[in-house]
Amino acid sequence: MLTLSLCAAENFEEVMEFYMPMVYRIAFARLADRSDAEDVTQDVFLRYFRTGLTYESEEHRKAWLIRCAVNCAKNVAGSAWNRHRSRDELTENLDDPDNEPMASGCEEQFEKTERRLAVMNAVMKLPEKYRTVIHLFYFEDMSVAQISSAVGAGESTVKSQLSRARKLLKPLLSEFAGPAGEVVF
Amino acid sequence: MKFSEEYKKSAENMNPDKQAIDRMKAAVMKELQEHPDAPAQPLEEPKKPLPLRRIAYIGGAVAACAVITIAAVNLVPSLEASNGMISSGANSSPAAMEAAGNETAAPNFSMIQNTTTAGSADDIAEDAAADEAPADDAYDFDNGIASIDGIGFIDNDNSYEDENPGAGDAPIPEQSAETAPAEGAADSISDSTNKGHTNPAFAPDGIANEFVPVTYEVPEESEDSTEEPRVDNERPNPESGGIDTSKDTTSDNGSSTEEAWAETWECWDSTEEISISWEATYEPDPDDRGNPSAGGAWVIVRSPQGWLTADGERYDAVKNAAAPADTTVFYWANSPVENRDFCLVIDGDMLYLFDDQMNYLGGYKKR
Repeated sequence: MLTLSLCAAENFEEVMEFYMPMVYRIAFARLADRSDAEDVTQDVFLRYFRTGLTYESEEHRKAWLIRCAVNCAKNVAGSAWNRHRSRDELTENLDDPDNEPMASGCEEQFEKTERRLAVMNAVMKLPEKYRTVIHLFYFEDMSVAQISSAVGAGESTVKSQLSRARKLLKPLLSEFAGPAGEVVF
Repeated sequence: MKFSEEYKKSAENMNPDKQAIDRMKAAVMKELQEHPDAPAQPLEEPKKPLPLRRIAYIGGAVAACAVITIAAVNLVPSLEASNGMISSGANSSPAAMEAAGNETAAPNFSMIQNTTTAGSADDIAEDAAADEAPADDAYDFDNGIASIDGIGFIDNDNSYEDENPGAGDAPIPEQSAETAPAEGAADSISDSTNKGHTNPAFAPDGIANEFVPVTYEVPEESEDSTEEPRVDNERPNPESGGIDTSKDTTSDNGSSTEEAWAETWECWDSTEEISISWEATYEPDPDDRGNPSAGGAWVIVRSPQGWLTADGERYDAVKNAAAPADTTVFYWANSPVENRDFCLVIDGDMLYLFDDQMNYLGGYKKR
């Protein structure tokens, strides 16, 4: 856990260095576009610095950044440009040539890679609000209460969104279901 | 497959690389250096769409409140009007209510034995019709006093004057057992033996009867007074028992109590004179049919299908039935449903129906 001053004006670069990947991932999970995610990340830290808040705790600062990232991503997603972009365009951005698995000839490795791509593609096919809660819950390991405060929704709303997201993911990931024939969430 | 593990590993691809991080940091620092005094931009949260469900709930609640308010506004005046018509002094005591009786629930001053034609009787006659009377049916109106539980009505200011004193006699209005006060002393005027349809209605051939003016004094101590006089000069005289008290909403004081009678009298216009023509001696016809209903008058209910029931017996309409030639003998009848008085002429199985103005309405045959 980061142990820096809780004042926004102090240790700004260190804070930016520490939290930038998290903010970027949240923005990317929402927008599925790297350039948009970068714009959102920059906007979040500009706001963080200019607001000049002094946070109560590190958790408080982290929650503020997540909330700001979600809202900024919402604003970008709601823009006219993004509303008319097809989802297929969004998933194309996932194919980062730098991240493609090396063709090592190992079937197991290939399957793992294939599985991860399928999971990522399946998540990206979800609606935006579902993607956000799935990412915060499974990757950022946040609780339902933390997610609800971060996204500004009630806990029951977050739970229902998680439930619906899982229902949507199951058929998409059925191909990679385990021996029991189902995806374990 | 465990989704959480797979997703974490796949989401690592979302991490920005070193170049991207450096690029973003440089852009932020550059922006801060170029615009160091720029105000903090408010975080604009996207506007949420209107919650249609909430709007529907609120709209429904507002509409329901509006309907209730409008209904209340419309109902309150009518309730106030109906309450005002009821004597404010009406006692709700059991005795009073019991004495009020059925459809002839109003105070029954059966001393009013008008021989008026239909349309000339007032409410006093109607109210009095259902009272029980002592065995002595010879009311003593000579001195203008009809004692009712000690209440004496002295003939002076209030007297009812029969507009048609020579219109003939009418049988004593039917008494209702139900209207008898619990103590049995409420009305010494009405004829307790005169139950059911006694004589047929008077023969309107102008038989003159003794005219005994009777006046009644309205007790002064009566506290409550109804706004409307109980006298309705336009109502027919229910001499034969056809007392329509459905319009009488002033008071259902058939009460035997002094207060009830006092308050009832209070309802009358003290300036009006009440006179009653009275057949001094009246002997009920022993062949009279028994009282088919407690009210004394026939009770008829006309059906939209054309048939009617009269005192529990059904009569079917006869198309184009000619009016009877002899209408001198008829019975008063009342329809509680229609709140109207009728006249009936019975001829065997046939029943001829007239309105209270003796206009022929139709013929019916007993089923």
